[in-house]
Amino acid sequence: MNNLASDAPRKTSVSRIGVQEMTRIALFTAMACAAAILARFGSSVVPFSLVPFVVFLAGATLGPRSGAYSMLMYMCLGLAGLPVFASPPYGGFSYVVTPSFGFIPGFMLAAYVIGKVLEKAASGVREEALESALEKAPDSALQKVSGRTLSRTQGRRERVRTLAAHFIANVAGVLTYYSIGIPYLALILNVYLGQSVSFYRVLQIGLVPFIVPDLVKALVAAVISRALASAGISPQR
Amino acid sequence: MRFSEMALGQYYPAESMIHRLDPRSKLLIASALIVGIFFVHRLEGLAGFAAIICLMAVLAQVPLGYLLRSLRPLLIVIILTFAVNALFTPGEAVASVWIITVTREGIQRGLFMTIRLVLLITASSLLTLTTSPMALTDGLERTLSPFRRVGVPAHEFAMMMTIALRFIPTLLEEADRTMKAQMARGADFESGSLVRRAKSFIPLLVPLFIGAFRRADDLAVAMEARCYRGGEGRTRFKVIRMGFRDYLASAAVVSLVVFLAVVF
Repeated sequence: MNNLASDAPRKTSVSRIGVQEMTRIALFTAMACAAAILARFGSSVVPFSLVPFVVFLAGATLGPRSGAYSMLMYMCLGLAGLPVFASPPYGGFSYVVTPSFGFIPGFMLAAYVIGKVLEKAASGVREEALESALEKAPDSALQKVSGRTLSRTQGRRERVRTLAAHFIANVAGVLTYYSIGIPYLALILNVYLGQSVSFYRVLQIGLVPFIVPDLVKALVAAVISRALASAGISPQR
Repeated sequence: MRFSEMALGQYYPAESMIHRLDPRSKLLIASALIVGIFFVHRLEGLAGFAAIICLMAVLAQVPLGYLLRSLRPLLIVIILTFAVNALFTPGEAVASVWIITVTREGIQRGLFMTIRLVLLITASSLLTLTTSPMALTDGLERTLSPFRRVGVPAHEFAMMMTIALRFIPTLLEEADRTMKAQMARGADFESGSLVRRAKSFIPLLVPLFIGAFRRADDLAVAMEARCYRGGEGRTRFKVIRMGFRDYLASAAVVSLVVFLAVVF
């Protein structure tokens, strides 16, 4: 991986996001667009799209802030009129009044939550590694602390543990976007239809058909994001 | 894949008064209309909004067909809105077949909700029909730039959106290349059980992501090599400027919206 861009932080620039970070965020925004375009086999009110998949990976590989930014950019592109959303009308400011719009700001928050959970998990693992390394060989402790060395030397148990961490983070992400998308769905249905649709009915429309596929996506995304992390693609700190 | 359509979005190019307005004033007008429509509770108020929107559509020289086309994807929601209101609002019965009863209040309510929905959609479609995505991101950047002080990276946002648009075809190309490379090594994406096929995509996705990250990092290096250093002091080819016309249009629409929202 080419780290030239991040190796030399510029003092003249006022931007708080580095150029490399910017291109990576844009990459995930593009992936979300591509995922939505490629998988327009939607049904009923909420789309079954591959976008959640991108959300999981954005949170895990970009970290909380950048992951959330990538989803924010996706939302902005769609609202600015580009047909990048998974369900009709695919884009434009009028998408705000569609029932499933709530999931898109939900994705943004979900990416943040996933990044945050993994950040916490990683700092826990690193502390533990530091402690055990200090016990065994105090001299080489500092060398072993860097995430890269750790991921190469970790055994099968460690691999399962990181996979579990990624999966738990993704499940937290799923819960996050549903906790925004479902109330929004209820709100819009009630405003449109002008009368109360029971919350149970809303869950039937927006949650029941999608929660199991989303959990499967969360698991597959965990496998991939763990593999990417061990290949050195992980949030820059 | 229709990339030409992707790049243009819903934008309808024309040389009209509305097209020439600053994207910022158009953003303001569209948001004012959308908020205003929600605050109105009587049919007369909606008629006022309909008049404003029709006038703007005429001034924008957008053909009626284009405007109506933006309603088509939401046709099901519109019909559903009317039907549910007409059928389930209690009141004086107009017609009844078996257990289905249509009430006078239901029809009124359904009509009101349907008109409100149609107005909401057309108001927001007018914005995206008359403003190109580039002008919109530009306007968004300029609108957000006062918030730089509190940590909103306005320029970076606009830049990232532009880069993302450029990356969509790159990604598809990268996916194609990785798939062919794995097939050349004997990968099989098409046979076996569902689990097996899903598993076969993992060796596709991991290199795809790594390749895509390399592309992104290459772009970052290329930008740095050309001395890109954020929005500070950057000049642009098309400068957007709020003129007298923009202030006049914004003030007129916003005051009309406030008037309608207060009266009705």
